[in-house]
Amino acid sequence: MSWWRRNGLALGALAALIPAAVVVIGGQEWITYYGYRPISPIEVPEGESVEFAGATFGDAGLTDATAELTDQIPADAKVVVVEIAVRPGAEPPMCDLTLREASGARHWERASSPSGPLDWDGTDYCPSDSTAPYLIEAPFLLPEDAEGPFVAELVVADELPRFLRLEVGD
Amino acid sequence: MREGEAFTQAADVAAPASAPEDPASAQKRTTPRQWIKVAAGKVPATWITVAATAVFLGATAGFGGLADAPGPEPEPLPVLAAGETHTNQQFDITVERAVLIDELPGSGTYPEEGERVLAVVATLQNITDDPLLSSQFSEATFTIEELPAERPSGDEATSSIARVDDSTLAPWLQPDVPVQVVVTWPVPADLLGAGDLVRLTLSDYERYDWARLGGSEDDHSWVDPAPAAYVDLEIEDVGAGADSEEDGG
Amino acid sequence: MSPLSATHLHSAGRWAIGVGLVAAAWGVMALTPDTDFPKQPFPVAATLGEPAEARNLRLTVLDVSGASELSDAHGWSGPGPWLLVEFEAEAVSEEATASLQRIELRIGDRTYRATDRPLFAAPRERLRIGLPATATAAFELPIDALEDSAQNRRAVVSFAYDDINRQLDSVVTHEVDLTQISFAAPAEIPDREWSR
Repeated sequence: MSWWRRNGLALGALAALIPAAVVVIGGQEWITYYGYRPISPIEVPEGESVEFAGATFGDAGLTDATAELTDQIPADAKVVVVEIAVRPGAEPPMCDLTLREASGARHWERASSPSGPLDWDGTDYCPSDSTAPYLIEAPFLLPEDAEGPFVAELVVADELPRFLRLEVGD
Repeated sequence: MREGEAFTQAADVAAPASAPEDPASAQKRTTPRQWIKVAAGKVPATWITVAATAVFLGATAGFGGLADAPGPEPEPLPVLAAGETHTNQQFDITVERAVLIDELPGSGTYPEEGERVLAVVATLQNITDDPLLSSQFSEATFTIEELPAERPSGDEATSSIARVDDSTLAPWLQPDVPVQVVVTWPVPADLLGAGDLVRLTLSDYERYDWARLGGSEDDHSWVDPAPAAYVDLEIEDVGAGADSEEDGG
Repeated sequence: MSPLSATHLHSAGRWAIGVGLVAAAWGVMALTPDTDFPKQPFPVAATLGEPAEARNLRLTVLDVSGASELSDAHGWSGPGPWLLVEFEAEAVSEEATASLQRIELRIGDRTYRATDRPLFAAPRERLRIGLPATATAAFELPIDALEDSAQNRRAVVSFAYDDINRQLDSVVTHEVDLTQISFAAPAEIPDREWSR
């Protein structure tokens, strides 16, 4: 018993300092790894708009464009197009758009084929040269069994680790 | 043991002779052998070692043994002729010929105004166990001292490497598969001409095996290219180029 | 006195314990894998015609053949001998990192990289979820690969996503017997395309 009392101060200090060290060092490592990855989503329900990275993103929706690209895609595939209305602010952001199943299982990149990118007319990226409002129309190539609902994930590099997750339904 | 004996005997002698019946002991005290034994027992061992070392060093110095050793004289590098093979840790290199040409599309070298292309054709065989990217090593492996470092436009004059058969730039060289390549430099048009002798320096990379916690047994990199041989080549001037590469696509 | 003396063991007993510990240490050393072991990828063996499931990858080796010379539909050709491995691959859940950076052939100690010289056939672009694409990996072989040797009978083709950070990811492997393949005739390598 007397040992505990004799060392009480030191033990108390340890009890405070060890967790503090874990938090500081672990937190530092966590920030270094996760700080530049998209892990903190800003959820945007369907049909709503949000201010992000100095621009307004809204009216996210999904349309089917399989008919337009049948000659470039396999028979059992479908093409969905994510449409987002963007009103850039003073500095138009550059963005990366990907599609994910709402359940989180599968995650698609912009549509492409084994022989290269698909022949697609719409604007499927964020042009950084004009401040006029524009519509993003990004195609994604899905297998037949991919049913909704989906979410579109929009990443602007400067805003990491926060990013937009827009519900697009289907 | 001898020291001990000497001490006990000396002690016997020093103590009042209670048994002087042995006249031999009195005689022993004065023999040089006995005296040396006594003296040696009294001298600290280190003194003897130091003295012996000093004598030895002195003798060595007398013969010039303490002067600086002469550094190894740089051996002159071997000079190869076209067609001879130079082997280093990475490749078997056989340089075939050197050609001066106005331009060589597909070689990676684009001559500017007032420049021509110097092309050296060689056969490289990767003798290691892993594929090697030729362009990672070709710049340091093949050098020509007399070429200017800067081009008229101010850019650095660097060499390019390509396969001869299909004009693939910066080819991967697979283990034990010999490949004919062409290494090209942009040169000022008036620097070299037909029949000139140009000295190509072949440098060898060394394999550096490094170990790190959690690494593989085979981790290595190629470092320190150092000149290892010269190849003297006579330049053929083909003007605008009958010697163009097969264009494969 | 040593603690052991309190246990009333006589000398033979103590010797037995000592020898036993040394034997146990030898056993532990013998069982310990070498330093490379924790960094090995997880191999998934693929048999001809059957899909192999690895992390985020479903790959089927369709055909293995040889050629004395290879050409493609765009005018390229290259002298052989060549080993041709036709395969079909798709990603399973994540497209972003699904690019087969590492397609290699291992014969004994030597490693060969799949060629990227035939530009439209070289199989190095991103895979798609659920939509398999067919491509052919072509390996430029040394002349001695045609000989009958133990190494040539047990060559291994590997497919993996990352060429640099190999550890702890999956790799799809397929064993090839080079002595059973004919390298006599020239062949044409088809372009990459959708499987269906």
